[in-house]
Amino acid sequence: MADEQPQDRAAEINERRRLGKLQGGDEAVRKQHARGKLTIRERILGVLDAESFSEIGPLAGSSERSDAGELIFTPANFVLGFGRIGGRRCIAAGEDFTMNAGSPNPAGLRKSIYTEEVALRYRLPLVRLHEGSGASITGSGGKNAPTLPEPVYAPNRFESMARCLNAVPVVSAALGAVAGLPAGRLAASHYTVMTRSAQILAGGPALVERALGVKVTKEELGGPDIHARSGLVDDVVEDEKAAFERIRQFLSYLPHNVWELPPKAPPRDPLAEAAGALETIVPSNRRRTYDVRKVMDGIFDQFSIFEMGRRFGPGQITAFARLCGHSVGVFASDPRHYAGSLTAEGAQKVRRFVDLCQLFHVPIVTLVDEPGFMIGPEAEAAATIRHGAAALAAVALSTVPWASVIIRKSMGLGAYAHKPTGTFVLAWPSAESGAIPVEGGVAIAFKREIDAAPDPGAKRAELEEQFATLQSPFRQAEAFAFHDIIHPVETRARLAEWIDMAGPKLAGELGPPRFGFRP
Amino acid sequence: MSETTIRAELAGRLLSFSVSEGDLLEAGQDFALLEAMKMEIPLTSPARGTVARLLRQPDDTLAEGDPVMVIVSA
Repeated sequence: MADEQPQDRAAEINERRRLGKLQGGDEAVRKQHARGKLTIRERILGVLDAESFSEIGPLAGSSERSDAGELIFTPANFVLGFGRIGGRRCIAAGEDFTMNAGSPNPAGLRKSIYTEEVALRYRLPLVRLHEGSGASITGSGGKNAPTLPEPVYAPNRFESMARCLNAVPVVSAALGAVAGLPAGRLAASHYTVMTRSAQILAGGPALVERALGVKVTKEELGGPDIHARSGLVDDVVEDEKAAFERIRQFLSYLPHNVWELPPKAPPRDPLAEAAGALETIVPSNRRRTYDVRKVMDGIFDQFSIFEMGRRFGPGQITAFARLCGHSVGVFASDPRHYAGSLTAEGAQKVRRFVDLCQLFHVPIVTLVDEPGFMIGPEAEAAATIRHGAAALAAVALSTVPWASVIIRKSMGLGAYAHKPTGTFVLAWPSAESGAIPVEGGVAIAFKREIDAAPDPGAKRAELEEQFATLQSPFRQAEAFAFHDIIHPVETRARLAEWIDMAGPKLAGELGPPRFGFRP
Repeated sequence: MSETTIRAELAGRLLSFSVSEGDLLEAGQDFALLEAMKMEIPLTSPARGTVARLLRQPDDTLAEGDPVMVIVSA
């Protein structure tokens, strides 16, 4: 405009900046709070370090002038920017649910599409905070402005999400109802968390009733009780603040991107009692279990254990931890769940976890009490062997350093999930190794002798005792099947020495993986 | 006085209860033994209270999440 002054433009920048932060307006923000939820701007500020948010595209939106000439500005309903977590740079983004329930307006769609691009371009971890159901059937222009379909040369919307997964840590949180494209995006992450008041669904109750004639609530479809056990999310947390803490902690173990090594923290010894308790933690009665999380407490740096996916495939524990300050991945058998045998769900969790460690150059320590693949009708119906084979393949081709501590059993095909070629193998005195567990093995191979004996029970016990001796760790050590047998209290010191020697080779293996990470 | 239903956090065959109705149970205390895959696994109470009712009996097969006991806390 010819008579516009530079200071008019300066004033307009400031006015648009102010209007751009109003989201859906005071009433809409009030309603969001009344539902017990934060706004996207509050969420981004909550997950990032204080005063670290540098917004990208704060003036993206649409505008018109009132009859009085006043600027009416509608911001994009997607917020995106740079920030820091634990002092380290990242990208943070998410839907603005106070505007059109997060269903993107045109400017919002553009910022939304740009999110993964900017994370890839700057090679920074990506944090996505989701609440929204994706596109409406009316398109991003709303009921009165139908959007054109995408041209044939437009990139596949999922492509940048998939590329991101192979370049930078991607973390997502479901902080409200998440459906449609946002749900797929949420799942395309290395770590996913949901709050108790969130739901994640492919289609909401109205769609489900229309398509299947079934009436369910969104909680029944995709609430935390469903997804803690389904494997869709890694963790369910109480509230949004807890979600931010989990995100921050997850990122602390990993580098900015695949071209860097994981960061090292100051070392921190485990609690002395936890370390001392290792000597007697495994019961001498082979039928009794122990708490392997206490074993972890006695080995890794205090406060450093970050378990993921506890309620999915609970017989296998997957966690990050620190070993004298180094990031490590921990894969431990939990004997309290079906004696720690590898189930279909556990194998899926392990496969994904091993790939995650491989992607970001994180060495793996495995605590082994492995009776083998889970058996029985339900296990077979769940295709345990196929999921197990996928886990075994991921392990076998893994090139990060592995150390294995055999706590008790190391049996069957499942044993190979704990020792890719070159694993540093330490055994506890309680270790038992063999093709199959003694009880099953004896019952099969010596059925006739047992049935023919005057006291079958005593005969079976005698044979089991005999074979248990063959599976003793001393016989294995004699055959150089282990690097060493150790006293349990020596575990941390031996692993510390191992990681000191094994760690440096990772510097020569930086860069993108040889496989595509599959969410 | 509030009743809490304690559920099995693991699946298996119930071998025995180590408490009876009327006993006081501490949080973290073992109250039953399960058997699965040849292992004996203790069930632990997440809460403190007095045992009001045992809902299952030895030799029952329990699925994860099955109610096994009701306790009352003051």
